[in-house]
Amino acid sequence: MIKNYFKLTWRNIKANKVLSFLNILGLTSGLFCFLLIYLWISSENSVNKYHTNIDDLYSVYLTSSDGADFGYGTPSLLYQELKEKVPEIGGVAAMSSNQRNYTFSNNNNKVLKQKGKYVSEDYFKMFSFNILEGNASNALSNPNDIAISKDMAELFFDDAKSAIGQTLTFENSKALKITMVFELGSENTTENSDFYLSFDSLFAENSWMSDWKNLGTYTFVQLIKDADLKLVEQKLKTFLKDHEQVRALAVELQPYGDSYLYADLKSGSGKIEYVRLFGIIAFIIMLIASINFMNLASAGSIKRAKEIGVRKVLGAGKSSLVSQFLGEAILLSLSSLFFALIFIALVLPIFNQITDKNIDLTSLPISTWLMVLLITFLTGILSGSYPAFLLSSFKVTDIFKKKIETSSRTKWIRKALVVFQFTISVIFISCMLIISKQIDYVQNKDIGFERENLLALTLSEDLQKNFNAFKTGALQISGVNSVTKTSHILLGEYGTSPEVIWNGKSDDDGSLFTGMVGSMDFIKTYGAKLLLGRDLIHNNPDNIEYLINESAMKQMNMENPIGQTISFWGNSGTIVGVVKDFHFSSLKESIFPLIIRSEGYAEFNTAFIKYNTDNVQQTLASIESLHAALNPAFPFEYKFMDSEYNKLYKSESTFYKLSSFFSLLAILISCLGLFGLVMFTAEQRTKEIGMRKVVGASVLAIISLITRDFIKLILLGIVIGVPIAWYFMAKWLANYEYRIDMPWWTFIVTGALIIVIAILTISFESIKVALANPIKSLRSE
Amino acid sequence: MIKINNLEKYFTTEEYKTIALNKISFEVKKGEFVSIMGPSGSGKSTLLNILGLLDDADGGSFIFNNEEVINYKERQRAHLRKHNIGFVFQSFNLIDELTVFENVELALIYTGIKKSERKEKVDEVLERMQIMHRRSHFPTQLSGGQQQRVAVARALVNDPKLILADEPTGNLDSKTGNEVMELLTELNNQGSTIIMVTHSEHDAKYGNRIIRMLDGEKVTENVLSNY
Repeated sequence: MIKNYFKLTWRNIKANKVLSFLNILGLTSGLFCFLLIYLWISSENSVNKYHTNIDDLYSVYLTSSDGADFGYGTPSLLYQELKEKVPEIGGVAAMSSNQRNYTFSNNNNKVLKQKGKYVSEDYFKMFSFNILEGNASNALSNPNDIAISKDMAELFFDDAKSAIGQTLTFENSKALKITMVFELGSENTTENSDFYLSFDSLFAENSWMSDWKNLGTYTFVQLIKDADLKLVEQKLKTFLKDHEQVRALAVELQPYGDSYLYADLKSGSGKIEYVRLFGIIAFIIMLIASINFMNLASAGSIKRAKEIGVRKVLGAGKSSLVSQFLGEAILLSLSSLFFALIFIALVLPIFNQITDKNIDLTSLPISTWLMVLLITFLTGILSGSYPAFLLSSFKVTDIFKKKIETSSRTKWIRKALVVFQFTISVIFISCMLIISKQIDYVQNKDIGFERENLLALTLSEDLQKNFNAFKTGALQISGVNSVTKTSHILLGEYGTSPEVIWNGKSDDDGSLFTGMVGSMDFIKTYGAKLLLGRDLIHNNPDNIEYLINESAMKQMNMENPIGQTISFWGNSGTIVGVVKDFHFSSLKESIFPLIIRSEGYAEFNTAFIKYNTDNVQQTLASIESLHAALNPAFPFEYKFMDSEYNKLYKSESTFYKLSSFFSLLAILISCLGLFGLVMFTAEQRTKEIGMRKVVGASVLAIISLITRDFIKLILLGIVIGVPIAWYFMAKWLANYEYRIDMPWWTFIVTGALIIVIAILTISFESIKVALANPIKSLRSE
Repeated sequence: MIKINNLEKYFTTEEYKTIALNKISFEVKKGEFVSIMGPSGSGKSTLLNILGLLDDADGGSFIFNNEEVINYKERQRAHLRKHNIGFVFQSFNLIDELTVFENVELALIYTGIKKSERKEKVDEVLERMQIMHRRSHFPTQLSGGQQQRVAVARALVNDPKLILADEPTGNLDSKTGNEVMELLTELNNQGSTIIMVTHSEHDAKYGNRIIRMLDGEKVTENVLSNY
């Protein structure tokens, strides 16, 4: 019997080529989207979960009782105390919070920048690495030990084996001995260090790390097997009570596997939002594809009626017919899976590039494949269920009298399905347009400083010392307009502090300010607008100058701030200028009160060079040779500020690219369904159309007869879809402190676009019907 | 074999109730060949559908093989149908996507007969219908007469106790129509019980008895020959 079904399915596909093509195309598109998103979600869900001890690993974070301070930053001394005082904790690792690029050279004077971190001794015991050479248990036991990746080993030496025991010069200053060569445990990881250094050595070199107030270290713990998590959490709540400066902070644990998706500790979310959103999109697209299948199968049902009748006469029960049609749907799903996988294999390189993933079809675990098969089966069942029950419920006597008229309920269902499909299409397309407008807005917004033609250059130690020489040299290059140096790159997230004192500050004023260090020509180089006063001109510790932004001026309630004295973290100085507010973080954040000091708490680690657009290559080459002359031990490393700015919106940009693609597929699938339904209707109304033509209806009248009803459904889809899209987009835009007004015209464009596409889809079939010879259509009755 | 008594069938729409069968009663004995005649709308096809357990009656009694089947559920009817009744239709009703062999075989598949046995039975009946040489063809590749032979073969392959034919020559030219009627007569001679609905006086006379209907009622009953 099964063989019989197979045979019949195959012959039906051949006999109804157009319908089968539409069916398989629709399901293929649906499965293609769904599986692509599924692969992405699986990959996101498994980031960092490959560690053998994953069930016992936790990231430590701190919260304050008022909920203000949330973050993974912990005191550098915490890890030792946790190990000593909490018996349930089997291992603790400390890690420097920022991964930086450092310069290494070998005996052959090969100089390269590599990125890495400082970690404490338990790190390699707790987290899984493939150790190629050396021993994980004592890899970083001496201050001058270094563990390097296989790739780094191959850059400096022949291979891992020849690297072990060798020395590398670190930052042109000290020799480090390679004690271990490793490979990351999986590619699906956020860990991408080329090397690890001893945390103890970092600790020894930085006295500020012994200060409990300083939260510059990440801490990870591994609980012993069967430890009572609740009990540990209870203990950690008040763990810092003995340390005056941080006593109000509670130590909390987050499963390490969750740290990637739920990194936004305050809201308890993070990337998981996108995972959920794409999950919903995947599900909706699959639903549209299934609906499409249902409509097309219904459209083909009249052709199948005789077969159903014969089978019933020969004794087929309803259940056997239902299973036959479900079987056919599953078979079609499986063949669609085959095509979908081919398409996925084709687009995967681009998809990986857009999403920054490394998904490889050939290395998926068996469980993923089983899931893919299960999804395909379920799709078949979902898609086939309605046609199966519809077709098997036809009465034999009606079939043979050619009297199959579906009840008003099934007509209603089919119409509702079309409305649903187009509602979704309206939502997808209008959201896509609005997201693109917002991304466009943030990428082209005047953010208050000129990010174009602005180069950020990392200042290594030598260059910091020789900065004046560097600046003088750079200004002699014809393409360079101005040069300055700062402590921050001006794009990103900054800490805030209440430790600002000014005249007239009330005792209970807890205003927070962001601080950074700038230097001469700050305003000139950045292209920020000066409202009052002048640019910074001194970098003199005894004569600190302050630039403040408009928001800070308002915060301090100063009418004429120039010349007034303020103190920031105990350093008193004079306000020399007020700059117009500019964005130094993502546009999701409002502009914070900012204080730029001419000297102070942080080192100048970045130089900024404003260049003009004439012969940029030549200018860059000149800067590079200047850099090489003053700083020979370090490679030339720079960033363009405009591309750094765009990186702030990478998630949005990725989301936009993917959702546009999926929206287009969604509308394509919806149109296939619509096409099917028009075919179905035209077939049902053949006699009516023939009669109308006999009594003189024009081709146009027939086309409008068929089109009218469908346009009503599409309009209904638009009417339902627009407010839903409006609601979601208003919510999404609210995430941005700086955003576009809801562009109402996008809904008109969406509506018009959908109507045009729908009319084109409908016309194809309705013109065919309208042009058909009426005698033929009457005879066929 | 069949005994119907006061059989009723109505067709109702929102406004009208049409009586399709009005308390009709008759009996068909095993081995009989009964022709049912009447103008369009007289209820003869409705009657055949009820006799073939394809449709329900709204009242009366229907005894098939000494068993009251009037209240049978769909599943019971399907079971009874596939083991006892063969159908021949005016428009043949062959499945275009299946070959001659597969069309005939379909009737056996639903009765759960093993493959080897199916092949034997199908070949035997195709041989008998003289259509064996066309076994791998699709219905659209056959003439009307050949298609009806396949349909008859399909009706016979299960050795049904009853063959119901609904205007079996309606779509055929007179020569081919006669051939099909000869075929049915031959089957009747071999012991099959046949009930045939027809418009054609000529065809009706192949039977042993003619029941004439008008407006859902039996008008006359003529015995042509003893069986």
